[in-house]
Amino acid sequence: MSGAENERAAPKVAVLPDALANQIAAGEVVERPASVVKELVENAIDAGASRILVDVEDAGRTLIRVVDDGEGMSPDDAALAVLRHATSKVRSADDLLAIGTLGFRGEALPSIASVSRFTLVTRREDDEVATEVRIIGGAAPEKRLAAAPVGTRIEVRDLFWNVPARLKFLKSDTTEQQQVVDLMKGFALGYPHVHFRLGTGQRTALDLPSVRKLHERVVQVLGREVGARLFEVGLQTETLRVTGFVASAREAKAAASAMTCFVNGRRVKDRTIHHAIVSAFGSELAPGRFPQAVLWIHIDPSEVDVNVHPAKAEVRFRRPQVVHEGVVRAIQTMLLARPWVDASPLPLERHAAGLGPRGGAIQPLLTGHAGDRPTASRDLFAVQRPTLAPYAEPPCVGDDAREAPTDRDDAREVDEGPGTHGARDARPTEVRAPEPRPSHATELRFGERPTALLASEAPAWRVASPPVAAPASRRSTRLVGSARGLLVLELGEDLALVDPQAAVELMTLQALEARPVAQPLLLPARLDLAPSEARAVLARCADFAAMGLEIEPFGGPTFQLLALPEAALGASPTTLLGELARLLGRRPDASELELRRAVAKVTAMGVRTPLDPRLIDRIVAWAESASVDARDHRGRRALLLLSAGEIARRLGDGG
Amino acid sequence: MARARSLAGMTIGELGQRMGYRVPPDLSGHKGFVGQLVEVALGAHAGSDPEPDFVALGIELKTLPLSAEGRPLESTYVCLARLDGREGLDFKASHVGRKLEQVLFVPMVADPVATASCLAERRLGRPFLWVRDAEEEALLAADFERLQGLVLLGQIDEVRATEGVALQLRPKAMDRSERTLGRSDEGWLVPVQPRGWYLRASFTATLVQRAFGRVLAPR
Repeated sequence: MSGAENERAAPKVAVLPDALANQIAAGEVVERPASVVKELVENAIDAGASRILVDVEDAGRTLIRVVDDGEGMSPDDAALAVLRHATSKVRSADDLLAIGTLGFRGEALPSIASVSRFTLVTRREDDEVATEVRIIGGAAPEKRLAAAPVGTRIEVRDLFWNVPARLKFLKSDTTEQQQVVDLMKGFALGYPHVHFRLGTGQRTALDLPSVRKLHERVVQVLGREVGARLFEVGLQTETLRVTGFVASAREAKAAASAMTCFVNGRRVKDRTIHHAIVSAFGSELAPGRFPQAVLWIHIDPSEVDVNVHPAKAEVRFRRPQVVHEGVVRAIQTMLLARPWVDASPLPLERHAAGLGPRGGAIQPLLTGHAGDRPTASRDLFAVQRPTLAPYAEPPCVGDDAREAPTDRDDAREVDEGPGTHGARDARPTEVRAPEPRPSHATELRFGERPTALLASEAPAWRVASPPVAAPASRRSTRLVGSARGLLVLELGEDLALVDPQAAVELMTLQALEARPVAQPLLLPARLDLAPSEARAVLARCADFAAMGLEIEPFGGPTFQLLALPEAALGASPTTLLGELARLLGRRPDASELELRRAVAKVTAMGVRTPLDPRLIDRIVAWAESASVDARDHRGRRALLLLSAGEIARRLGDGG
Repeated sequence: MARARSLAGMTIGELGQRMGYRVPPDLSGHKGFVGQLVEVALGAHAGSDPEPDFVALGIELKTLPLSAEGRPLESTYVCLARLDGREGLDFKASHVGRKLEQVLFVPMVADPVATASCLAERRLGRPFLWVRDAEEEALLAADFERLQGLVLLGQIDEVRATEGVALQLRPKAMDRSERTLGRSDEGWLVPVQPRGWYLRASFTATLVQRAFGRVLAPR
């Protein structure tokens, strides 16, 4: 076989070696030293650490070290953790719908290890010795025993040593180091119960011991001066808890970076939240300006999708409008109270001084300004629930039950269990069973399926009350045809011919006897009556009402018919009014039965061919129990029955 | 109600004459004339204010143009929408929600033989009071929440008239240049085209049908 033939035979598609696949994945996950720090600190937080110490040298190019006092890993887990898509945080696709941890993809460690000299040392509290895993440039992991305290230490040396092209894209040391500092500040704001320390070479860039109150962490991270300009906001609804600090419109900045937001402890740049913060200020904020704000949003994890961005910097809310409204309302309540009008030099601390142990973030505004803006405050917080949903709990707002240790000792000397972790505690909210919907089977409702609409339409020929039961009910009635304006029905073994007009008259008569409900007419029928007719009609209005007819004088000789019983909706209202007036004009003492007969007669006159299918159905149903002797006002039978025996006899069967 | 019922059967021309108003030949350039005429005849006054037309009764008045067969000819304007984000997602507390708590619909029926544009020949039908039930409220609230959500998020330009099962959000302006304050996609207040809340014709059709059983009685 020639070389060219060999080339043709070789497959063009090949599975990449793991090391190369990890390096490619690292392109997304590991962009710069700060991305490595982000992934490793997220893991530490997910491990329940109460102290996280980060050291970087040369802005992270030569060394990134993250040490935590979290729960650590077993020797087997430590070996697995560096494999691609190995994670302890997700087990099934369902878990992705309610992610309560910062990491979950299982990509970070192998990606980082593929572009660095990577060392992981970890020990659980119950293990006597630690496990060390070393990987150099994505090569096979080397595992051995080591000595180390409880927790995990990861060292990433010589980042991008094997992909020098990536090194060229890094910015200056100052820029890269500032990225790490900003990142750590973000973590610190998101997790006030965790002690964070960042060392850069020989100096300590940040040392943020755990605190009990959010505002203390804000002052730690942003400084006392900025803290003094921020005012507390808070709101809790059934699915959402918003806490944070926002400055007045006067302090607005030109960049959106003035707004720092956390969703379930994760720092995000979310369009919905940013929009809500800006919107809350209304006309107080000039276009192009952004308020200074730090907001923590705690929401049921099932209400938010964090798996939408490679670096998880963006999230997608299931109901963004609800989050938007919550943020707007939280901020507007603060703005309405105008706390900056008060002369206190440290508004944030003054407000925070009144914080209660739980849900207290809302209290200062309520107590301090309720008198000034009672309506707004009461309305706003009327939705609060007495107890908090688990997801609504901020990681640290002075909650005694969830307090993290507050100390300034070195993390390596700590011998405590894993710290608390807000996102870790996340549990889906209770699912309420839907309330049973009221039945409206007999009423027309918007949105019903067309069949239901049709069933309740049948406007002209509906009978409001069920027909009066006849002594003998026939079975298996069905329409078999029509001839000469008559319906041909099969009634069990018998045959019947039905005159629709007469049937309608009898059906209406039956319905009128049951004192039916009046059905208003869209347009009233008006008629000028002769004086004798007018007097008689006026005298019988109560009798008409008993039949479901609403007739009243309309000034002068004019009378109007405003409503008909449902059974008579096929009648022409004007004709009906005239017929009744003529009857009473001739015989003012006509009986109620005569009046009903008049109504039934006019209703029957409204029967038009071809017959409405719904009317046919009604006639068929009526025929099942109709009397063969019933006759209409003309003396005409409505139903002619040919029994099976008579048919057989006339046909000569059986001799 | 008795006063309202006394209008039933009257033509717009007759009512205009009774109230001393000259009835325009058609509604072009006189949008809202019939509504105002009926409001004056019944002593209501609120217009697009947040409170209902009959403040003491909490009842909103709406004329409802119907075809000769009794089908609503158009969607029913309820009120202007607040686009500045000052109104939340709570339908019941919203301007439109309060307007739609109880509505006295005054049907205006086209004459089957007159030309459609002949306003004076149109006849007022029997007014009917609609008090929304829980199911209708849920339907309206769902539409409101979705559409108002887009308003709050600064996505008003993405709202289409096809959205909403019972409630619609549509442009409402005397001309295309009219502007009100609304939310930009960044959240700032910027000039936008005014919008109004409307009840869909298919929704009001069910209300008419429920009120009258059938559409029109034969004359």
